[in-house]
Amino acid sequence: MYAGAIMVLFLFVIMLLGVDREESLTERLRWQRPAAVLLGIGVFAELFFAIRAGVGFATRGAEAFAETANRGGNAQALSRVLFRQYFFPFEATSVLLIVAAVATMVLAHRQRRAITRAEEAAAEAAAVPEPEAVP
Amino acid sequence: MSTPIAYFLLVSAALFTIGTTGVMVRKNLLVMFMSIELQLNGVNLALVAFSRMHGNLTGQVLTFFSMVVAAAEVVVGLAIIVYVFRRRRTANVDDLNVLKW
Repeated sequence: MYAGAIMVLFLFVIMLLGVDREESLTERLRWQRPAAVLLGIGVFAELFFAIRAGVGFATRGAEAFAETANRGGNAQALSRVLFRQYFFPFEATSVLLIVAAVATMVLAHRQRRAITRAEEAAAEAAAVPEPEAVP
Repeated sequence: MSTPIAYFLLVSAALFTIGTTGVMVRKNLLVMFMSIELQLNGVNLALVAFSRMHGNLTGQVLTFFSMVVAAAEVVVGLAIIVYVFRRRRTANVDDLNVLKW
C-alpha cells in the first residue's frame, strides 16, 4: 500500500516539478547545517538511551505470538481485530480519504474563469483599430 | 529465539533521526516532505515492534490507521506543493518568504 500509493505519488510530483535542477547551495544561515547534524546526533543518542533504559536489549517478543494473537495467520487475525474492534474508525478513515481526494482536486485544479459579456465587449473594442483620421 | 525488540526500535530511531536531520538540512520542499514521511515510518516501525513485544495486534491496527492518515496528508501536502510551484516557479524554501515579517 505504501510503496504503491505514496511513493508513486511522490515520483509523479518529482517528475512534474522537475527537481533535477541543482539545489542552490547558498546558505542563509551559515551555522544551520552543522547545528542540524549535531542535533540529529543528539536525537539519536537520546532515543538510544531511552530504548536501553525503557526496553533493554534482552527483551524479546512475547512467546507463542503465532498461536495467541496471530491465531490463523497475521492477515486473518489483523482483519479480525480491525473489523470487529475498530470498525467505526475504519469507516471514518474512508471519509477522511474522500475529503482528502476532493481537497486535492480543488487545490490542483487550474481555475478557468468564465469570461463575462462586458469583458468580451472590451476585448472587441480593443481589437478593432481606431479609424484613421480622414485627411 | 526471536530477535530482541530493541533492534527494531534502534532501526526506527535511526529512521526518525535521518528524517529529522533531513528536514533541518535540506532546502527543497519535496525532499523535506519526504523526510517527514521518513519520520512517520520510523514511528510506524516502533509501533509494530511494540505490538510484537506485547503480543497484541492493536499496534499493527494503529499503524494501519496512521498509514491511511499519512496517505491523506501526503495527497494534500503534495497538492499544496504543486500549487506553490505553479505560482512561484520554485520549490526552494528560501525563496518562499512572502509571509516573513
